[in-house]
Amino acid sequence: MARAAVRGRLNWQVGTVVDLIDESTHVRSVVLDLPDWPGHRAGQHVDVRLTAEDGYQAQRSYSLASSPEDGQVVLTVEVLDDGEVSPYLAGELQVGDQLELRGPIGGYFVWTADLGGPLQLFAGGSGVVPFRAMLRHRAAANGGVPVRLLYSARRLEDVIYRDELGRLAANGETDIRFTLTREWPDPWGGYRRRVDREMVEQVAWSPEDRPLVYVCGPTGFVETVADAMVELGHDQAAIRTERFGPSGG
Amino acid sequence: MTTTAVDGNAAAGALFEAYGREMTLVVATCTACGQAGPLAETVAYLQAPGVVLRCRRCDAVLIVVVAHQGGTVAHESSVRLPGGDV
Repeated sequence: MARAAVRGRLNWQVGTVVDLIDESTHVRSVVLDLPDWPGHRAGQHVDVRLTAEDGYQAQRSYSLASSPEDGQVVLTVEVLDDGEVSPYLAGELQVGDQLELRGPIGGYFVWTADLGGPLQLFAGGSGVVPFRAMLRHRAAANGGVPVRLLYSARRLEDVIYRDELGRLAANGETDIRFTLTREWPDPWGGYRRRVDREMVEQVAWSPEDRPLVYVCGPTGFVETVADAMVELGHDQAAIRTERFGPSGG
Repeated sequence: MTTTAVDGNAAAGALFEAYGREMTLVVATCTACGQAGPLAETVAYLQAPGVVLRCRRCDAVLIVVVAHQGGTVAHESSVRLPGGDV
């Protein structure tokens, strides 16, 4: 079966914005129509390039939020205060506008259903985006492997895909837990602190279960989780990491 | 933001341009300290004019990817990449 190209050129292509969805006050999903899209695997990303009138170009990477089966390309963008690209994508971009992007990119931080499981996912902030693609792909592949997701966010208002995660958690063998690090509602049954080894140990499969582990988020979050998993006895080679900087994507 | 350290996943597009193929799974060995691992796990600094990949253990410069007018070039420094197809 033909996979997304691993040889040859990685061409810039132009997509048209067909829908915009507010996921939270600072996060927006951009749905794109890309006529030459070759398909992708869950976990891959695209590079988006913006060109100003004076020719200045800025480029950023965004994980694909859509699964291969979705039939459309969706990016989820968090606005960063000092961002060059995100304020435009999450704020000014309108339906009908065009975006220049290349992809899909990435062969390391990828999960396909044939890889099996169980799946152990750790998301810090907007690190949850590639996991939406993975969970949707898993659902489209008719469930299959058990999955556990720990999702860390600052406040409940910052949690994105809430309804969808709730629906996914209602399926069998899907365990989604949250930790809020700055504020939490009352009552709140989830964790109330930054991730640490104790929390990782409580949510993780045992090493004997040989989970496929994916950790995505700010560097500090990823390092804490990956180190904890290795200390708990998990195989380093089974842990895939994606870090996107100190405090956001 | 352009000097924030991320990891080699963010350099995947630039690496593809330079090498003509997906590179994040390639196991690179740091010739300064011997640390070996996928390029996805290296420390990446994304800044004009190029992308700098550093060893996560010892901070040695592994690869600098620069987009020149004629194309994107990877300048290899303290790194050993596997020969042939990966």
